[in-house]
Amino acid sequence: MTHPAQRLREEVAYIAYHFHWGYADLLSLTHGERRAWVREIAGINTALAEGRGAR
Amino acid sequence: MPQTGSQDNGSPLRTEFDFELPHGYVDAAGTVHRRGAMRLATARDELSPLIDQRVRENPAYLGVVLLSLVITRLGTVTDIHAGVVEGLFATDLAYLQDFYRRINGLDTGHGAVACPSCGTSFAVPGAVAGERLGEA
Repeated sequence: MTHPAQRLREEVAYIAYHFHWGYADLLSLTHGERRAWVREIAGINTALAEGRGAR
Repeated sequence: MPQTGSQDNGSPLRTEFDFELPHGYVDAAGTVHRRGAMRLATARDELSPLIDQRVRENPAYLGVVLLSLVITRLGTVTDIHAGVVEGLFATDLAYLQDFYRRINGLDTGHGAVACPSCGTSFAVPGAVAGERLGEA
């Protein structure tokens, strides 16, 4: 039923590293919203890696 | 930082969902409470109970504490603590675990399966998402 704690910390660290949002704010995101921002950052990184620039 | 619970167009995001327990929680006075509500969970909800001694001694207890945090209403029960969740019938606990998975968008695998003998539903553990996060 729950997420692995390590996975949660990985996602929080990922968003914090890229967006510099506060720890308390990140912990307050619903699971769906947190995962959505992880996907957005992954998309940006993929675009950068492929030389297309951020969307 | 986006505001959780609101969208740019002004329509509020739904963060609380009503449920009705198959059996119902029976309180000390014998009153049955079936209708309630559960809010969407956050990383804090899952990480903060990890320091709870009961969870440290028994990791399975995390699910009980977690449900007590996200259930915002249960009939006329005023204090929804872990003891209330522990006092639920197995059918209701399985229902709430599955409900948690569904509203939080977790993989429910094949959903709940019911015991052909007694009808109790059991949640089937979903696969843990294993994909790696994108590299910087």
